[in-house]
Parts: sequence; structure tokens; C-alpha cells
Amino acid sequence: MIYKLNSLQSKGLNKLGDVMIPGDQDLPRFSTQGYEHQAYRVLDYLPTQDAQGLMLLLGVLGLLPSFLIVCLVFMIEKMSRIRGMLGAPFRVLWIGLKGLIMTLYYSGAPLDVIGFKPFVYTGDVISPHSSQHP
Amino acid sequence: MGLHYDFIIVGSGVSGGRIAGELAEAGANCLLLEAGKDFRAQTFPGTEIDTTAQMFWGGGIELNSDASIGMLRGKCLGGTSVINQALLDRFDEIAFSDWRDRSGVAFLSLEKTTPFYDELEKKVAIQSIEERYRNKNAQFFKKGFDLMGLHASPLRRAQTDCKFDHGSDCIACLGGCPRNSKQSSLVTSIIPALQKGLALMAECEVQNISSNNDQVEITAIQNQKQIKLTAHQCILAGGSFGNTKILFQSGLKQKSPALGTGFSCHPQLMSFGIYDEPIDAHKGPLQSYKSDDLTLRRAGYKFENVAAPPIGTSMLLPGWGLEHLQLMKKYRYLASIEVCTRDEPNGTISVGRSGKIKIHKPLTTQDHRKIKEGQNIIHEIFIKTGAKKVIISEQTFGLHLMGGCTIGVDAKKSVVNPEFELHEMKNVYCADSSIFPSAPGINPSFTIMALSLKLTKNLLRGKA
Repeated sequence: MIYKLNSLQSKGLNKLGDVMIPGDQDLPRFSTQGYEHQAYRVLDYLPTQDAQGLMLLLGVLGLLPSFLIVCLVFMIEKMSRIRGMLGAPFRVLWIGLKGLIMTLYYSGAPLDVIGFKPFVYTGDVISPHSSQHP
Repeated sequence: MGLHYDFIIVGSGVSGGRIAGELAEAGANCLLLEAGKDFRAQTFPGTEIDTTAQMFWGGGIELNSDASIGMLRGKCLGGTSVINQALLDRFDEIAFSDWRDRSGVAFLSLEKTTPFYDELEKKVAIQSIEERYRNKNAQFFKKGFDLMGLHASPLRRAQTDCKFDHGSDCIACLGGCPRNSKQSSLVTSIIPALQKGLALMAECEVQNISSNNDQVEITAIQNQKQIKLTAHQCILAGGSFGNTKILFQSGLKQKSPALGTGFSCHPQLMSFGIYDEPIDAHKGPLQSYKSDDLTLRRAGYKFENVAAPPIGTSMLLPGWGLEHLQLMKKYRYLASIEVCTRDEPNGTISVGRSGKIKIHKPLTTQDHRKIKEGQNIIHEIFIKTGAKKVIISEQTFGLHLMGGCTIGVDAKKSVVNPEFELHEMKNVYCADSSIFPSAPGINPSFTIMALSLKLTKNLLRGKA
């Protein structure tokens, strides 16, 4: 399944992203980075039900004013701290929403700012193994 | 028309990869089935976002029923051995004696397992990180332990020729090592076995399995097509969730009531210390030290110095908004230590109508006590070594998924018999972490390999 966000869902993603990552003098606002075009890198590999649920939610967020999204995020985060089954749906929501935003954001340009440049020396590796198999 | 083999191995991780390699080496006609993709050193996704999405079940994470624990398991050729830190520890008698008490299986002892550990150490490169390569996160861990009067020792890692002197960072290998230095089952067993005739079907998910006295029949899905396979014997190596799911779907729960019980996961939590100077916990060797202290062992928890890449760190750091952003800007200044608890095997695994795995794993009062005590020790280590602030992550992870098909002499209380064969299904065997009778409180990979090697020798001798 290849997921592509429509304009309402893209709007929802960027509104939610700006609430969670508003940016500052060093790090850019979420919505300035064009992550709506990268969302498939996460959504395509989620269980179908989870991906469709997130898409639906992003569409709803696209209709809400930002201050309501702030309230929503605040509430979900607080409720996710309730132990046991009562807090379970909020934890699922929190992991889903925060996971989507953080995953997209920290896959791009901000990595340079925070100083994450992992390196593995492969200068001596000459195509070590064939991918062919019976 | 189905295909027939001597052995079909379901799952290619620490256990399945080892077993497939040993059997193929001995000349057996084997098929290895893997639900994940056939990534190799040249084709690992490389970035954290793509690794997480493409190489883990659930697109990155699976949650227990109350969503309090995130479970991580590899979905790729080589399984979790490709995406973990390749830590190979021998179990101690504390772990084995508990296993014997619970299972009644006499060979579960350090003495009986030692020959297999010894043999494996000749087959897999194991190293500890030399002092000159240990990063500041590791140095602070050791310093903190010394100041606390606790004993720490170097971790044993399955790796070779990592080229730390050329600036290699292990954190990049969490998505598969691009230079094949990490001694995953992909590198040590599967690739050599493929060259000796091992057949492989990747992206092939087993649906169910049945057996009679002559052969085992397997139904699997590959490329949305159902395929039928047969073998004289089948080895299930899909781990706690994979094996339990296949056996549930095969109707074994009615015959084997213990199926899906006894699940444990070594709940782990990371804590962060923020320092004035850059720590660069992600540079060089990711992990160098573990706690090695009898007091902590008896208390039921252990520690390791560790680091997470940015997406992982952003999820572990609490909150959101500007405050969270400021913390992430301190990424290079974060030291991190994880506490891993020896939890009670009180979890259950089942399969819902939709085919989705359901994990019921509540943490007990004892588990919470261990976590709290462990976090307090980490807090003290950070403060004693000069941290300006300590952040305790609230997210619990399960990286070692154990039980569900436990080994034992009693068919009513266990699923696998002391010969590693299912009590209620002939010619189907299992020797991975799903047979663990309880949480050992020690990194499980090496003992999974040892048990798998023992099973392989039994199979080749025709004794099993």
C-alpha cells in the first residue's frame, strides 16, 4: 500500500507538527520542511489499520484551529500517563502522533543542527557478498 | 504441487539462522523461511526512519494490551541479530537453576551448556571494546560505577574489524552493519549456508503447520500467493510472537494449554544525564560496559551504557513543543544508561480474530520496584559524575521477547519437551527464546545460540 496524504491531511500533519515542533532560531518549524511528501516512509510500513487510523486523524486535525490542536495534544499527553487500560488508548494515540512527527522531523535537516552524523568506514569493503540465492 | 525438504526452518534470527547454517553445513536439504526482506550489507536502508519502518515488525514497534511496553523485534533476513547490539553473555547458575526449577529439564545448567558456549566462541568473533576506543558515555558509566562502589565489566560483543580507528560509529549499524563486522546470523550462518545450497524464501509468512508421523506440512503466503511445503522435520524459530502465532493458527492451543503463557521481556528504560561538555554517546562503540555486580544481580536488574539515534531519543525524551526541542538540541551533551529488569514471566500471548497478536503483559509490583530502584541508581551515577540535569524516560521497552512456547517435562505446563520437540506435534522443534521458562536477566542471544546448537546436533544424530 502506498499512502499519499491529501491536502487536508497534509494540513493536519503540518499543524500538528508545528505544535509539537514549533522551531526556534536554530531548528526549523516542522511545516517548513515539506514532510507531507515523506509521510509514506512511515505510513507504508504500519499495519493497515494503524495507517488508516492516522490518516483519518490527520484529516480531522486539518479542520481544527491550531489552538484546539494544542489543547488536544496537551490532553492526550496527560491522559497517556494514566496507568492500566484506562490510559491505553491515549498512550496508543500519543505514540502514534508523536511517533509520526518526531520520526519525520528527525530524519531530515535537523540532524545536522543537533550534530548527528554517523559514519561507518567502508573503504576496504568490496561488495562483500552476493544477494543472489536459489 | 508443494516442495519437499529434509528440514524447514521458520525464522532466520539468532536461532533459525544458526540452525539453518549448521544443517546446511552438514549437507542437509534445508529451506529457510523468513517473513521479512532479504536485506544485505549493500541494501540496508541506512537511515533511522527507513530502518525502523522496514526492518521491524509493526512498522517499528508493537505494543502490549495496555500500551505500557513497546516491543521491538527484527523483521528481516537474520532477524533481530541484524538490528541489535550483538551482545553475547553466558548465563549464570542463578538463571539456569530457576529454569530447572520451573521446567524440570536437567540439562539446563551452566555445566551442560558450557561446551556449546565454547564451540560457538570458536565460530563467532567476540570482542570487548578496547579502552582507547571507549567513548565518553562509557567512561562516565565506569566512573559512576566506581564512585558508587559497584562493579562493571566490559560487554562481550559479536563483532570483528569494526575500524574504530577509521572513525566507525556502531550506531549506524543498528540498521544493519554495512561492513558486515557485526556477527549477525546473516553474516555468520546464512550467507555461508546459501553458498552451500541452503534454499531461502524471504518475505514468506507461515500461516499454519500440521504434522503426522512421516512429515510436516506448512502453509505460507509469499507474494500474496498461498504455498504448500513439506519436510521431514520443521524447526520453528520465529521467536515468542512468531512461534506462538503460528501454533495458535494451527489449532495447538486446544491440545497444549500452556501455549502463549510464561511471556517475559526484560522491561528496559533509558535515563539521560545532561552534561556541560559534549558526551557524543552516539560516536564510536555504542556500548562498552555492563553492570557485573552480584548485589544488583540478586536485586533483579542490570545496567548498560547505551545511546539511541535521534528519532529514538526524541521518543524517549518526555514532552513536546519548545521544551522538547531544547532537549533535542542537547543531543550531543546527553549521556545515557539503561536499566533492564528481570521481570516475572506473567505475560500471555494470543491471536485475535484479525490475526493480530495480542500481548497481555502487566508489570507487577516487584517489576515496578526493580525499575524504580534501577532508575535511582542511574540518577545517582549521573549526579556523581557531574550531570547538570537527569531525565528519566517514561517509555518502557521490551527487546528480549521470551516464553510463549516454554520448555518443560510436563505437557500441561509447557509446550516443548526436553528434546526440543513440541509435546503435541511430532517432528516440530523449537529452541529459540520462546522456550525460555523465565526471564534470565542476562542478554539472551548467546544462550539461544547454544540451545539451537544442541538441537541441531540432536537432529543430525537423528536422536531428537
